Amino acid sequence: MTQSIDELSRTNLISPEMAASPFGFYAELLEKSPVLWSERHRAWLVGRYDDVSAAFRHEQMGADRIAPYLREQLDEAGRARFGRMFEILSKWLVFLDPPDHSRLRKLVHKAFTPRAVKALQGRIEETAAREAEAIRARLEAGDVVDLVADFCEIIPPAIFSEMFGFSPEDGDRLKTWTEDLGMFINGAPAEPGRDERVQAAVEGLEKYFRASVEKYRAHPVDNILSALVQANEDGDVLSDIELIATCITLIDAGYKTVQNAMCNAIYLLLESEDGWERLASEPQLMTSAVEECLRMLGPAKTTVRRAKGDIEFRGANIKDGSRVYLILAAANRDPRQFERPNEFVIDRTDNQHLAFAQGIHFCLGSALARLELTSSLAELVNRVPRPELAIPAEGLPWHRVLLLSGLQELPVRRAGVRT
Amino acid sequence: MSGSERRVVVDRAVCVGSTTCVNVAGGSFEIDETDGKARVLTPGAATMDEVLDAVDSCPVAAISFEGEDK
Repeated sequence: MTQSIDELSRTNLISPEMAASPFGFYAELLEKSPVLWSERHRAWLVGRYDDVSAAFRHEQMGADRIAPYLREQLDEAGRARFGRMFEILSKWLVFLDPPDHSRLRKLVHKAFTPRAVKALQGRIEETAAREAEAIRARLEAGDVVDLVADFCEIIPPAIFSEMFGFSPEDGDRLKTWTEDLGMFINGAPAEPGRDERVQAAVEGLEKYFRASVEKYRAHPVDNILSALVQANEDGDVLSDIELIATCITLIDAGYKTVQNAMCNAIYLLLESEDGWERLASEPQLMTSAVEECLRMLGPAKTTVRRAKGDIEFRGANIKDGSRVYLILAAANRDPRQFERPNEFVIDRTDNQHLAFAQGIHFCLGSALARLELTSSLAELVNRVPRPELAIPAEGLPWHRVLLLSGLQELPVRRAGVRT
Repeated sequence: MSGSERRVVVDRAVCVGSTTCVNVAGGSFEIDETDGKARVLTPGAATMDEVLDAVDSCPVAAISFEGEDK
């Protein structure tokens, strides 16, 4: 415990040091000032488990971050240029408050059912088994393999191609657009050309999904996108822009969160004493192991809310319109909630982590994410003898973004081989 | 089912308040305003199919029939 509250308030949450290891900062935040005004980010930081949980259910903690951004951050030229993009973003489930949220979620839920998710299991296992075998062969041959590019980034697009009915080539284009869009959504530092790429990505995605929607409207098939087009609640259906926005949301969330959750889980297993071997020999541990990975290093680090009206929250006077950062990664290691919070306990039982949030925005795709993680990791640990990091752990490239935790690369080699 | 009415229950320690049950079987579930968690309405107005859908759809498997394993 070394920093003053003033120093905590000035901490840059997306510095390289914080991207690599924010947990010391979180521990101090939870201890010294559980609800803290960050001068650096002009936002309230909330990190204790009970507080984050309460904030998720708080009616005045609004999910709409788009309308205020449009109002405050963009001039007229920007509005003219990015108007369409914001129109689409404003229909994303994650940015909607009731009653619009309730209506849209109900319709989307009709297509994204447990049965539809379960039907994807075979495809997940098949893809993961094939990739794991290729990785095993390359490691045996002495290659260094990047498990992000060659495993984690391969599974989600393969599953989405099944859900949405697109070809591998389409999948590549969608991946690029989704990554470009992510630069804006996930709070990455502004880079030259970022806005242009984001704009082009949204245009590409809109055009692509508009064509898909028209295709399935004319000729329905048995996949999730087609079911979304057909979803009907007492005559209410998703409008074209809602369909397009929902497709983009699902693909944005479904690609990068699962990718990051998977690489973080693999990283934790590599760093653990015998987690990899235990999962290979005791498959019944997989469910609790995945939950523990989500708790220790879930893909969603922080979720942003906007105060709707003045809120008195845990002694803080949060003014109307203020941004509130709910730090899931801090809450998931709150010692008030979890015993031995910084230890990876592969068979942890009482594990009500917040990696999927809580309340009305609880992750719609949690069942799919869990299925992708458990099935893929099982194929990996069963087929590939535990490798080792090919670079020192402190050199791993963590994403420098506010909202997500994950690695850009996870290079590994066959264990015990010196290069 | 064997004629006797099965009682549906929500494990409130597990519920995360996703409101999925209210969306698929609103006649039989509601959200408790005080803690944001789901509660069973008795008597419920939802059909048995809707209730079964709610049991299957709950993202954290908090809903079950009394006396049955989840």
